[in-house]
Amino acid sequence: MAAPEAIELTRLVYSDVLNFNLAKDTMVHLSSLLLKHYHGGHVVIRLALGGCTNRPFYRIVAAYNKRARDSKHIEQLGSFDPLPNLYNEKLVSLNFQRIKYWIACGAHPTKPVAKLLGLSGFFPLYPMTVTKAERLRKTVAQKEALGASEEGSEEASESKPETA
Amino acid sequence: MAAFKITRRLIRDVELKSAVLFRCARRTLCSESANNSPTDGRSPRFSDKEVQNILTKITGLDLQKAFRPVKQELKPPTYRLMTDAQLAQATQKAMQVAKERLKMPPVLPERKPIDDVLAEDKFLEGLETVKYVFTDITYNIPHRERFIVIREPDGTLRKATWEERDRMVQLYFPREGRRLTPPPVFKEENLKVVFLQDRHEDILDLCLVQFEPDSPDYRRVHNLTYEDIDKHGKYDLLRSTRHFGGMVWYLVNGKKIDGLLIDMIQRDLIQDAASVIHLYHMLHPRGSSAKEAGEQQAQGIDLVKIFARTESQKAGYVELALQAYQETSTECSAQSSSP
Repeated sequence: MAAPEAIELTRLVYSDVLNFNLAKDTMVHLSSLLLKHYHGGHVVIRLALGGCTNRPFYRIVAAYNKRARDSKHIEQLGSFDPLPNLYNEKLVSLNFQRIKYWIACGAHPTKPVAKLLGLSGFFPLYPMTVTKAERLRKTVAQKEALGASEEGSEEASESKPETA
Repeated sequence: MAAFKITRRLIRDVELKSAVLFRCARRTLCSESANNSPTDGRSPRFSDKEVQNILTKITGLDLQKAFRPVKQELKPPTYRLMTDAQLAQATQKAMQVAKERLKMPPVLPERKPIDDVLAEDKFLEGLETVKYVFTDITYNIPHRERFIVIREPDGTLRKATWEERDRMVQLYFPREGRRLTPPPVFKEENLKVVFLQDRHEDILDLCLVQFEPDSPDYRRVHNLTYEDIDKHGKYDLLRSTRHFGGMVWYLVNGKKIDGLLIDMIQRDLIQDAASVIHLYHMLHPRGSSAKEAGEQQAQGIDLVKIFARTESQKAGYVELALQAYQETSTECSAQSSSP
């Protein structure tokens, strides 16, 4: 038995809740409702391959985890051209506003996407990027050391026949 | 699910449309706010109301030239039967459209180069041999505020230079008529050919479409065009087009208005000549001609005479033209009064 005052109160509260929900800053997160189709699936931000033979082109895309790599995505968030152009640049476009939205909705970026976002400065640098750089420098240093030692041994072997 | 998709599409459409409107409104608003800024204690700028009024008056409104046949798809002409009142209305409308077309493009100071480094990660050196260019393709932000950063092969993360910015913006948000690399017409030798063919207006229109108003290329092409016009006295090519105001502004700033004045006097446009000299006094208020004119409070043809006496470089020619004008005006008045 709802008294008229109670009805009025609930109407006021409901309108307040509506106004609050429709304010600019709050986001209505509906991704949990959408995931009812895939068991244990989640939204990922990944690279979808396109282009032609010997000419790859990636689209940065928000899609379900279970979908095929190039099939229907939820939204395209950018592009990545892995082949450098005339000015020796690799072009990456990122829709930061929408990427922020999808990450807020709980999307997981894959490794290459995380690497790109780290290089762009949007994310902190991906750890494997740093590790790779360190390993490269180690190998370069080792090669140099080897080369120096080889030169040293060559000089020693050259000077020996001269003296002999 | 379907309802959600539809609502999402609607919201996106609304967002896009409002974004487009916002961008257009933002562009017009910017130009208006520049017009309304005060001029006290500062040398007058191109966008001041007074300066704009003078320049629009001098540009003139030749409907025949403004609505010259432009290269378009071939369509049979449409004929309409109108009363006199309707014809007057149609000419009014045409004048409004011509005024829109004659709106002067802005004259901005040259843009300062960007060399902002966001991060220096020296340990990333050697990992890549190419630069990575990251562009933010969010729809709702103006192109000037877009984030375009470059990760160099040596690990520095820096903001893109103006040329790289223009290229990226044109790539992801292409503008009609603009090309990624500027066409070879804008090189010096090719510009000379264009000037020989008297196609200054076309090259200026092309320059407006291709370059940003504050880019050094835009200014270089415009300055070369104006110099060429001044050298050969071809001022009439730009009269009644949207570039006339810019040309007058450049000449007044460079103190080269003698040729222009002679041309105006020869075409019996004394009021326009007086306005040009008024503008000159506004921009160089400490010159001798400005002081004399201020003392004598001269108007119209007297202003021109004072200027010819004091600060003009081709004083002889200007006075000769003035004499010829006065003789013809006395002849005309004598002829009209005699019968």
